[in-house]
Amino acid sequence: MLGIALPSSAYSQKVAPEVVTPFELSRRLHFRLLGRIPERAEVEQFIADADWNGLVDRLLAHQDNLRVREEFWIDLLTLEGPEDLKWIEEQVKANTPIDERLHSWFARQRPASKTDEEAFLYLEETGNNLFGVGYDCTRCHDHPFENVRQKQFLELAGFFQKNGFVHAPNLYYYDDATPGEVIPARTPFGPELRIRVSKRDIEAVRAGKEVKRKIPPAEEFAGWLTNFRENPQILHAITVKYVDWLWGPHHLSDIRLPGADPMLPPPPEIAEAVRILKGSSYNEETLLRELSTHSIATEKYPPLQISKRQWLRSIEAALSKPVEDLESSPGPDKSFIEQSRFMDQILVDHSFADHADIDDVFLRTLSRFPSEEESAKILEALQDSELPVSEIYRNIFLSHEFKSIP
Amino acid sequence: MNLRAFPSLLHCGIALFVTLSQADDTGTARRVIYLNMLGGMSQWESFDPKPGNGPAGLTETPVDRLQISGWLPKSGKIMDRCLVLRSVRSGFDHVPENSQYVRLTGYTRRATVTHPDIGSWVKYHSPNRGPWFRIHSDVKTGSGFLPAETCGPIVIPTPQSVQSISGDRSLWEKRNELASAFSHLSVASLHSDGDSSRAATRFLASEVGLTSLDWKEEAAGVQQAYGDHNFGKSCLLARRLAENADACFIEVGLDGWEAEGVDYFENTRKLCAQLDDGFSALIADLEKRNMLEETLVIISTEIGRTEAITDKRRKFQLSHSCAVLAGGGIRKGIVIGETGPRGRATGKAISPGAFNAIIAKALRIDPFETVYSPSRRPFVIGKDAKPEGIFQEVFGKD
Repeated sequence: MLGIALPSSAYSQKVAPEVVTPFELSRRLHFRLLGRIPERAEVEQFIADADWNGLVDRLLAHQDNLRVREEFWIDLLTLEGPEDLKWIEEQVKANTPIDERLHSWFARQRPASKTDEEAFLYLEETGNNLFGVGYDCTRCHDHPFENVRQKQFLELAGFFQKNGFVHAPNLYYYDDATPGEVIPARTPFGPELRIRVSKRDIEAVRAGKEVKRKIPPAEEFAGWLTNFRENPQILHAITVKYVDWLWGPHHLSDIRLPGADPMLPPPPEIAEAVRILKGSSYNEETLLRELSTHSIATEKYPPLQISKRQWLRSIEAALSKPVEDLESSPGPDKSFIEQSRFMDQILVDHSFADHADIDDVFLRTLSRFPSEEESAKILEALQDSELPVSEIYRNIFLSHEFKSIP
Repeated sequence: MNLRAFPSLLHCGIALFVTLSQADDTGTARRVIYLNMLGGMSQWESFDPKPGNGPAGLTETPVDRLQISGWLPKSGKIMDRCLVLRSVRSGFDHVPENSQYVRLTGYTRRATVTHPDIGSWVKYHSPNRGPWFRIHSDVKTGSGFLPAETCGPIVIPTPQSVQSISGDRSLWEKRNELASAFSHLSVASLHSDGDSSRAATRFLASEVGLTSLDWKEEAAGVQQAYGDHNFGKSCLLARRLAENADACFIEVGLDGWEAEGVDYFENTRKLCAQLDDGFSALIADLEKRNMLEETLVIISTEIGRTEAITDKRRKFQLSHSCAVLAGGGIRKGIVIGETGPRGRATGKAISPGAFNAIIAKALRIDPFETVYSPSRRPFVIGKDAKPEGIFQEVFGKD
């Protein structure tokens, strides 16, 4: 772990390797771990403490971090219903190991799909997250570049179906099955796992009955999925998702399915993250801590566009008040006119100081001090236009600097 | 000299100059109103119907041997002012957004560069003209590698949305003044898909902005003719922006043709009714104001539909769609391109690049002028446009 303490007077000093200022680092870590910009007090605390490790510990213990972690898993596993949300809330709170969490979801929590269509849809939505690229394409055809065929998609979907098999759809173009044919569940790589389907099973399903199995297909599948030692693909794919979450899609370099030609070694940051996970017995919090205090955190990246959720939570942090009606608000990529109407709504009720303290506004919104030139220019324009202080917030909330992650 | 007659004499003079200077393969347009049918408008229920295929029936038109869908009765009456293109290549992907990208930019998506759409190209080549507008459309293409600040659209989500924010011009003037102090925070990305917030602020602060956006000041009869729906009102707003704001390009969207999860034909019938109201009223209104020859009106869609009806709906067809052009110096009352019983072009097809080249030619912009991206790669409006006489067919003298 690379813990770098900052000298307390180093406002403008760079964090090694001399590309990120403490202000930028604070903003980045808050965005990544809390899903929003730091509040003014949080920036000031970091600058005063000059303790990178301490900041990461504080952020990981923050309630908002639990919420962001839950959201990560909601996207990863396509969680929807209130029971699923309650389940993931408990899992994150207890910091259950990743393999245990995955096993619990597939073996116990997730209800088996009632129809083939449901199983296809679930695999289409989550396949890329769990196995790497390729599974959304293969619902309809063999993958043009990856080593995965449409039939393998159907076989894998069988594990999500309560009976352990699906039927080939009408849009099936290959000569290894015909539309309507029964396709039993089978894993596409790693240790082979297949569900045996007898004629009696098929007849039972046709008669509207359920096939009874000693071990449900979902439970067998969960065991295969979390056997990271023999089946490293899953761990690799999920690690990529974590690194992507923390440091952006610049790290989503090639993840290839087993058997791809050529098989590229994983990029160093992914290999390092996998090593951390294995060493910590798949502990999520340890991974987040290590990645956040790793040298990767101080690399210079092109700014990332923030999501709607991050934009709105950042506005809340800047104004220190909840913004109502978050769901119906426009996102940061919507048109100027839509965003402008939204600004008019949220700023009208907020009370601002009569005189503009530009330092305060910049620390609250951009997590940095303004330059002398910026201060002078803004104060002069504000005086000339005779607009209220709220208009400074309006301009900043709509600016590219506010809407991007450094 | 009677001063009241001066504007009309001037207008005649300009029209005469334009006519004389017009070559056979260019138009007379000063602006484009692009009615963008989003989600795949069915050619069978619009401008390329086949007898007995589908529930829409046929509408006779004043043009010899031209019939259009029975769900477009008002448009049928004005087809003698229009040119129908029945073989525009379309549908490069089952994902409509990807096909929209190809149709509007002329290029397929690349990870390394974002291409400008046709509105941004037009604005790039018309630097002294007013802004370009995107109304009631969720399309994500924009200025691409061209500077967003000067070539990006001003996006108007709905005609109602501008009514609520454009009332106080003095406030926008002040905001425009203040915005310059923050311009360094808003350096537009080279790959920005968004609209230009500085251009929008400037527009809202201007007299023409205020006048153009206030579509409710139109006579009740005019508003009624455009129809009581967002698309109709957007067409009316487009005409006002063309008339008052010197807009060089206005895109108006009509979304929902994909009809996912709804009764496909009932949905198509309703959308056709909106298109019928908006398009016919727009053409009549432009004609009444002597603006049709200087305004190219287009109906276009990104993807076609299959001739077969499966599960009570038509699927996307990765082959051809149809388009309609009117005004702007194009030939009237003709059909270019033919399709067979399965909706495929039987002769030459018009590529998205060639379609954009026609728009450029209508505006007398060279579609083959090379513009370099910041990474020094060459791009043109008319990518892979093999004219083979198409410009003569579209603009040539009858």
